[in-house]
Amino acid sequence: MNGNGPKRALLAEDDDDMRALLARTLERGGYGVESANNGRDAWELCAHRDHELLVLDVRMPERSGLDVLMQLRREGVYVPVVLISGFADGVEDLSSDYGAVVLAKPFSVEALWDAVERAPDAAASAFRSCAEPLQSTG
Amino acid sequence: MKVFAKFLFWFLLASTLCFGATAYLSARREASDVEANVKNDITALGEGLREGLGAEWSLHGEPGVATFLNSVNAKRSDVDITWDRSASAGMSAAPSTTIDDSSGARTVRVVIPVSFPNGTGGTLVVARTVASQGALLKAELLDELWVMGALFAVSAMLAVGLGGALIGRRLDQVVEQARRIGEGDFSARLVVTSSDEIGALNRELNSMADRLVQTKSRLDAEATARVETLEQLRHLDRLRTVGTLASSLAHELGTPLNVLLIRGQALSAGDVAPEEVTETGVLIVSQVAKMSKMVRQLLDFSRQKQDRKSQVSLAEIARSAALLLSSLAKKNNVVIEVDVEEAVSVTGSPEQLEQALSNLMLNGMQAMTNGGELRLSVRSAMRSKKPGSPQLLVGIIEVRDQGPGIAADDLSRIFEPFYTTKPAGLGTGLGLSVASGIVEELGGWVHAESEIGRGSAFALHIPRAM
Repeated sequence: MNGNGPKRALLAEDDDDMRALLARTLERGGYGVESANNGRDAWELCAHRDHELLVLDVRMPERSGLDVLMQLRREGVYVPVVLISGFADGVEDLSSDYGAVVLAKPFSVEALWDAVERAPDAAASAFRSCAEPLQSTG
Repeated sequence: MKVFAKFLFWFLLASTLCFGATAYLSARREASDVEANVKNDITALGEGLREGLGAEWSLHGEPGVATFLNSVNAKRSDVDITWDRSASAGMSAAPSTTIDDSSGARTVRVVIPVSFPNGTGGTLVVARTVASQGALLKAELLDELWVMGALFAVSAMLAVGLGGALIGRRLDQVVEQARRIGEGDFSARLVVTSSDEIGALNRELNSMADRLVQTKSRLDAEATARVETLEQLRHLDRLRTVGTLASSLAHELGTPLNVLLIRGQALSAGDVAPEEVTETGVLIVSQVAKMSKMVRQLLDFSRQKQDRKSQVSLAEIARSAALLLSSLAKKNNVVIEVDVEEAVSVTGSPEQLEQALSNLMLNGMQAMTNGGELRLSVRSAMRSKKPGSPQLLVGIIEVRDQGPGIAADDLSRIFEPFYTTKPAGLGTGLGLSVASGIVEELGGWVHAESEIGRGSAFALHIPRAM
């Protein structure tokens, strides 16, 4: 945990208006926000491993948020993740295996903060429940 | 009647020849009989005369012989009797016959040697002319010919009359009925009055007509059912596309709705600073614009009338379908490349052509599970449907994907309705068969090629008016 400056969050969302809105909301909540508008950039950014929160849209160009989550977990990184899903994404079942909180659109600001609050516990319990690394369900 | 006339002609000809041969043979026999009879006659006469001569000589001597012969000659005008006193000695006693044609007529001569008791004698010659063989023959044949001619005429008249009634008219009726059936008129039936071959023919033609009527109505019913099924398939396919687009739409709407929710809540909670209100309003309106556009796209697609045909630009169809599926493509990591010639147009229903194309594009996208490029191209060319068919000027829209490709065995089956290798729930297996149906109705076809590992290309071929 980085003690200097605001907590760092990574935001990955391809819709410009939505990304701007979420970045603003997170900043207001005390996070320093790094943004990406596609899954590949998001992955590159989180390779630095210096984020305390990841907010990932499931459906993005290049690479899905779910894919990024799964690879992080495979590599043993259990950073708190909030996954933003759209209608009928089908990610709800998988997310508990991978220790992420799912937030379905459209969500209110309260719902967002509620998810952010639950994310660390979800990640921790997923970490505890795997003795060996998770297999890819690809 | 012609068949009967042919039959009759050959029959009569053969009969005539046989008859003629028989007539000739019997005429010849007649002629030789006549000659033999004459020979016997005059031989008998000669021998009788020889006896008479012997008696005359005994009674009256030489002069009596001459008188006797003269009186016989006078009585019998058909024979010519001559007495030759000189030739007697050394001749055999048997009569001999000669036939002589020299004087233009045929003469039968019997030469009878006569000897008197005193050693004298002579030669008695009895002669008679007969008609020549040739004349006899001719006479006989002529008779025969008259008979034959009469027979011929009577037979011919009878045949024409009978033949017309028994065969000609009835066959004409059969021909007439066959012609009617050939033209599709199954209403009439032939009257069956007898059990001969033509009666049997009539009966069979009638039952054939009955069966044809049944078959025709069954075929009509099947054709109607097939058209209805095609319509239903198209409708189902359309609904499926609407369903796919609707779910894609619902997905898409989430994001602008989210922006509206958060901004709206902020406004109503008073969390927006006065200087930001305008910007917030603008953002709200732009979300609404985004959503309206998405909804309108779907409404347009589902509302369209199906079957109005017009001149359609294939480039427009390609661009329109690419737009319709653009958000779905993005979500599947598919990039749609459009490469079109502009001036390619065909006659058809724009909505149906767009549906056919979007079916192909959906298949292509679903084949590329890891995303990739979906290439649309439009061009015009001369192509034939099968090797050996005539070439047509066609407009071609091709969809090329970078999926895993299709095995050669599957490639021949993919046009079957409901055939699919996609997992359950993902594909109905209808898309390609509906697309195929749409272009086939316009006289075109779908061409499929694929190679394992290299992807597939499906091309709609639609004839252009020359």
